Amino acid sequence: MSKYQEVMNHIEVDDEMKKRILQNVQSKLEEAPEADIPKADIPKAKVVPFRKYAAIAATFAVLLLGSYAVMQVTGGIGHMSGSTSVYEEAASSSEAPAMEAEADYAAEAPAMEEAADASAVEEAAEATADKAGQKPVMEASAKPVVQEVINHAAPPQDSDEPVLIIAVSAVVAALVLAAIIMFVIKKKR
Amino acid sequence: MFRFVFRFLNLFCGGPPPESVAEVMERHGNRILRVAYSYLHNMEDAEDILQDTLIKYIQSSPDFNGPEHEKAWLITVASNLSKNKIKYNKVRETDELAEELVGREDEDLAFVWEAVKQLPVKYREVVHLFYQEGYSTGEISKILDRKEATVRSDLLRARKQLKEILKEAYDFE
Repeated sequence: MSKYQEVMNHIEVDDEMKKRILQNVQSKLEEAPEADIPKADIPKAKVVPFRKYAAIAATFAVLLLGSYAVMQVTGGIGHMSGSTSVYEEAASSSEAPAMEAEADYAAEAPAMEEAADASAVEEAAEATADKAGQKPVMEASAKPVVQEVINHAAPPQDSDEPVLIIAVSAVVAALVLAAIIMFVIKKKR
Repeated sequence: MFRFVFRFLNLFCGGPPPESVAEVMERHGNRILRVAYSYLHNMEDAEDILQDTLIKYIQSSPDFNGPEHEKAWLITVASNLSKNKIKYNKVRETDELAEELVGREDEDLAFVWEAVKQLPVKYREVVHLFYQEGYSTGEISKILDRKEATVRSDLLRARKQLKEILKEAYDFE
C-alpha cells in the first residue's frame, strides 16, 4: 500500500516542533524530578524473579546432592565395574595375613611341642591346653587382621570424597550467592 | 539460565548507556508522530502524544533487547496514549493532513486518507502498523496485545471497507 505510505510521509517532525518538544520535555523533567521518576522507588514492571533463581539454585543443589548420595550407595562410578575385584582383593588379602599367621604359628607349634615333650606330662598337658586356647586366640588375632585388611581394601573413594564434596558445595554456594546478589542489587535500584 | 547469566554479567559489566531524548526524537520522532496522527487526525494532539511518549521513555528507562524492541515499545506506548486521548477528549475537527493534501491538489492521496479516516480505530491501527511500519500480523498482535487471528480478520475487513470506499479505483495490495 504505497499510497498510504505516501500519505504518511507528509507527517514529519520539523525543526520547530522538535525544539518545542525537547524544551517541554526538559522543563517537565526539571519541574518534578522526584515525582516523575518513580522507577527508583517503585519499579512497577521490574519484578525480579527471585523465586526462579532460588529454584534454579535449589534444583542444582538437589541434583548434586542426589548424585552424591547415589555415588555413596553404589560405591562410586569408577568403582562400580571393579567393585567385585576390590572385594575379591579384600577377601584374598584378608586370607593371606591369616595364612601367614597360621604359618607362623605352625612354625612355633613344633618348637612348643618339643619343649613340652622334653618336660614332664604336666607340661604336655599344659601345652595342649595352650593349643586349645590358642585356636580361639588365632581366630581372634585373624579377625582384627581381616578387619584391618577390609578397611584398607575399602574403595579408595574416601580420598576423592572430600574433593567432590568441596566442589559441589562451592558450585551450589556460588549459585545461591549470585541469586541473592542479583536480588539485592535489583531491589536497591 | 542463559538470561540469568547474561543479566548477572550485565550487572557488573554494565549495559549500554540510555539514549538521550534528542537521539530518540531523531530516530523515532516521525514514526511516533505518524502513529499518533493515525489515531487522532490532528497535529496538535499528535505532538502532545509524541511529547508524552518521550517523557515516558525517560521516566521508565526500559531495558531493550535490541533496536526492534525499542521501536515496538515506543509504538505501543504511543498507541495506548493516543487511544486514551480519544477516549477522554473530543476529536478535534481540524485535520491538517487532509487540508495539506487537498491544498497540494493530490486528490488520490486525499481520498486514501479520507477513506482510512473513516475506518474504526481498531481497523485503522492495524492498517497503519501493517502498511506504514511494515509489521507482520504476529508482530502487530504483540504490539496491540490482541490475538493474531483477530488482527488478520481486522486487516481483511479493513481492506474490504477501504475497497468499498475507494471503489477499487486505487492500487491496494
